[in-house]
Amino acid sequence: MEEKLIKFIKRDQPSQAMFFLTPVLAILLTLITGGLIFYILGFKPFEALKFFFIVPIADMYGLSELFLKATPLCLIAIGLSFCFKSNNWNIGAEGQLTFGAIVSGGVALLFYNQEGFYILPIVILAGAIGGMLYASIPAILKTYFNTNEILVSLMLVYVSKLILDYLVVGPWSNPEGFNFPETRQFSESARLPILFEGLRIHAGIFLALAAVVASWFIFDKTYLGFQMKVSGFSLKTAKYAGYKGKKMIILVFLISGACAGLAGVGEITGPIGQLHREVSPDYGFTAIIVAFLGRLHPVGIIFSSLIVAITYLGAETAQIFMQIPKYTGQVFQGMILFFLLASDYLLFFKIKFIGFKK
Amino acid sequence: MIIDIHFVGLVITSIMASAVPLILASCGELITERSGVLNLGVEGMMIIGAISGFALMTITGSLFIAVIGAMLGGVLISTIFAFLTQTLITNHVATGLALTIFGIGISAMIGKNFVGIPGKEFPILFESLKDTIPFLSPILFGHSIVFYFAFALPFFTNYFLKKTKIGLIVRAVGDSPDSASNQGINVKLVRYSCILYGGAMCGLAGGYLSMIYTPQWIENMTGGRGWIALALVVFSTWNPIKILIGAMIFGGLTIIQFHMQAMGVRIPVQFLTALPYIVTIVVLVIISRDSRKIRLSTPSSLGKSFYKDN
Amino acid sequence: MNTNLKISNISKIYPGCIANDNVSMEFESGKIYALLGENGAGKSTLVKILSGVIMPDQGEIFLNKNILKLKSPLDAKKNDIGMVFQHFNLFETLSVFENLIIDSDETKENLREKIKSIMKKYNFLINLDVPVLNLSAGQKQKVEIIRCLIRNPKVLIMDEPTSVLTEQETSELFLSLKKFSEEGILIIYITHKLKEVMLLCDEVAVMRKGKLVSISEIKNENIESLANKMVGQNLKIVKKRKVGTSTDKLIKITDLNFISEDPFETNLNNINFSVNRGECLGIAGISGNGQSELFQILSGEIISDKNSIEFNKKYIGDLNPQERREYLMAFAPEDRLEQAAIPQMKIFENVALNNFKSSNFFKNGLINENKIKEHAKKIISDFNVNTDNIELKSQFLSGGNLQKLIIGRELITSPDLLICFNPTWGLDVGAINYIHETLIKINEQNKSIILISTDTDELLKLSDKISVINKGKLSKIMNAEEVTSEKLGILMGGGEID
Repeated sequence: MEEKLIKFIKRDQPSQAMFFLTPVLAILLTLITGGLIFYILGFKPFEALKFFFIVPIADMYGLSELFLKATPLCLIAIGLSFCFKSNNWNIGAEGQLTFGAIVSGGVALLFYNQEGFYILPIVILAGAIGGMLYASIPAILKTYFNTNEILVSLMLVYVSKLILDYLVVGPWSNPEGFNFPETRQFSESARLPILFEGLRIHAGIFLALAAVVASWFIFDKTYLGFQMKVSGFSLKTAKYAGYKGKKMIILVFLISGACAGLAGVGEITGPIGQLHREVSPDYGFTAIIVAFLGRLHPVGIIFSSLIVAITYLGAETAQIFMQIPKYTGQVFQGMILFFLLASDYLLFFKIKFIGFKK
Repeated sequence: MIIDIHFVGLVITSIMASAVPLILASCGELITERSGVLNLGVEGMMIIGAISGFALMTITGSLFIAVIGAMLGGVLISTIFAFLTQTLITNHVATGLALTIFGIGISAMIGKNFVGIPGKEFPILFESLKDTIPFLSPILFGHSIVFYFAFALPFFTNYFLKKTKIGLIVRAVGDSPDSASNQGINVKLVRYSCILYGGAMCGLAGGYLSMIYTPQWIENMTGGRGWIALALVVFSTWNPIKILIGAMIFGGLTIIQFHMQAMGVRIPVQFLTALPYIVTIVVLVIISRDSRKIRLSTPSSLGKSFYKDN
Repeated sequence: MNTNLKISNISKIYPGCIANDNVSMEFESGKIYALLGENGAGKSTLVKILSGVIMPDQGEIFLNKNILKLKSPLDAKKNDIGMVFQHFNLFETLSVFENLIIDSDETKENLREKIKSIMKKYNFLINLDVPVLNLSAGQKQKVEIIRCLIRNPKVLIMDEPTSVLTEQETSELFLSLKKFSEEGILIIYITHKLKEVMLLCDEVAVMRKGKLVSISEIKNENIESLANKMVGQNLKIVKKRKVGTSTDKLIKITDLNFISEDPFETNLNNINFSVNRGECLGIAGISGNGQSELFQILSGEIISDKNSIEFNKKYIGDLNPQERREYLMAFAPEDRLEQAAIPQMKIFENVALNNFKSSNFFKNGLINENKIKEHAKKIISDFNVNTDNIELKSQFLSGGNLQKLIIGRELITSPDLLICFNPTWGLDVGAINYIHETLIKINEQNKSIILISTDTDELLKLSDKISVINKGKLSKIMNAEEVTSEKLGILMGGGEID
């Protein structure tokens, strides 16, 4: 009787070492496979990888762009970590981002010809509220109507994009805009201040950092975070401990919606300064990858948001210099997630090499 | 205002044409979901089918190979999903999303060399009968084989699920993988097969877009149809015949809207386009309220991983 | 046909427990055999071995002198052994007919004919083309039986079949089983219900603690004798000395009812009892008769009518567990791993799950780690939990130590009432004794206990008063001295005593 060459043996408990190694492994495998794909499609692999990962951040401007892109990713992913950790599958962050942008954009437009230091905080708050409102829909439908939040939040993404589209080319269209599909420019007071002259990085990064610190604090130091942790492990135990399940579901969705909404605010009050038909290159979906890659942990998310941000920049750079299509960024994003999910198998199973036996 | 009946016939035909990729993708995903697997990667599988078909059409010149190629492209990429979720037991939601993101990206990479190339003329059937009967003949005649296949597919799918043994097994696995496993059914194999079949149909849907409907290759040309197809499966409460109707509605909305604008009816485009999504949510809420109803309509094991301790 | 089924020296050992201890029996067709026993007696294990779900560590099975190697349920089916499990293996959204055809190789027409003739023969009236979801429990069971009958089995095993049936359905079932037996099918009927054994069966095999205790003919037995055999004669267990309990009522349950939507959950009917300070009320019963539901209602995991539970002169029926803890109640559930604790969390984190009043664990919403750790250390030392390290994940604790931690967590705050459910299942002798001593001690401190347990020895050792729960109803509450194994057995078996 022949034995298999490789056997997978279930571990007694998840491997600690692997918990930190698997993201690294996933990144390595992605780079290798990416290089291979470049080669097969006729691009020089090393050159392509260089333009993808090194050139974009080789100067100050590049670095600031990196942080600029990482900011919304980090912010949304932090919000998502609250949901995912407690087994709530909020797939609609992109919709919450968009709706946050709509609400805050609308408020900003109200003040389009006014100045005042009070305007920006109101706009930011409006964005957070917008995101929360939009996220409350799947939350309420899940808690009180037993409806699957995956499908609801997903459907709502497209609804929000369509609302934005309608507003930008319709009622909110800039009357002096020569029919371009955009709204008026926001007043200076409604813009997030740029941090450094000549660079695009703006104060939104502070929002992201605040979110990171807040989430670390909540999970590590508060009763609320403790309850979320317990609910993520076992709903039965949470019930036994007397935690209020329904309230918690709604709360995590609100937090996630607020974060996504804030990311939306960041996008429109940052470099763009107005509402366009689209305000996000699918940050809400990519943030899901960021959240998983960062193992739903605040520090991990900081790193993973930077890594995924490079894929956005790299795609642009590679297109400029090597005419590689911009969508290549998504190839890397998808691959990282595939490899991470796949190598998670190693968390729970050991590989054992057994020779052929008779 | 006189309504030209022949004109209406043409409108209906254009609605049907836009419904084709939705029918194909939804019927494929339906089978996958009936076996208890939620594959969010529909958009990714469609776009890969689009580029596979178009590329093969351009390279080999054979439309037959191209159509097969579109399906194979979908199958290949869905294999990644199947392997990850069924063998490595990864999170279904994350894996499906990764599939879509990856699919759009890699299709753009492969498609770089095919941008701007004109499509080949796809053979149409019954061409000679095209102008015989007013109103009916543009609907019935003069379409590609994929078109006819798409409109037959819901009926085949329905027959498969309700009347064949294998279809029964698929439904059993979706209902209760534990009971199925206890009766000696190889749950993994059934799900693998259903996922791959879904991949083939989504690939074909994409191929139709790039080779027949447009016909051209453009980056990200599926434009969100994959998500609509997902919504359609739910909207139709996992019933193939309802998919046919729903696809006509969903697919036709923009076309109807265009004509409505021409007739002076003022409803924002976006509202009509958003309607399918909103209605799907409403349908979801309705079927979720009654636990008995949800049991009868939804494959109960949807989304949960199945891991049997050996 | 003549069938002979012989079980020879079957043993199955799990860590810490001998499920089947050298069991040997012989069955002949034409008779209905009862396999009788309490929880933990070993009957389910034996039957799982017979139906191919698990494999024995030792011993053989012979069917008509041929040795059987059953590696899977399919093997059992192929060897003409049919099994109807307590929890059905049906596809609810498929029709009855579809359920039956799915593991059959016959053509649709043939099968339909076969099913129709079976249904006619045994007077089963079921619409073949409705979804199984719409059937009653009794009808679903008939579908399972039909599924077995299609294959012309030589042996038919029924596992606790009447737990989900009505009186009427039970009578119908018995009629059918008698008919099957007359036609030569060997019937093995697993149960804990004494009345059914007397009504239905010809011979009865009693198991207790993994061993076969007796095989006898029904005509030589009665309910009392069976009860004795089931529960065991060794009531020489030292019962605790009854400390003069006060007549001060601590908790009073009035007209408590619970209806569940889940057909596999037990409804509770008209529960009335009270417990005095310093008293231990034991609730005996075979598992599956409502204990779990009763526990959850007492703990607050299931909310009930406010006035149905009066504790310390306050009505608390509508409070959740955390709120009840504030009134000085504590709860130790049966499930250590998925309810009372989280294995992947650290010991001190698990201690924080019981956020009792004045704990200050989460003052102002912030985690006060020092307080929790201090508290955890105290629990570990007071309750003899064998570890120094409170940072250890609790999955690394042995069963006994984890249970001590849980009980300790619940008791250290000196609650007025502890409600526990099977507090010592799966533990080693040392841990069991320790926990029993602990429970006796709290009674001596004038605190009360409601002890729900499927272990009759434990109940008799610790309780001052005992009631038996059966099909969601409580029996009369008896003083522990008055209770005999016979009475317990009868009540647990579904009977009544005056």
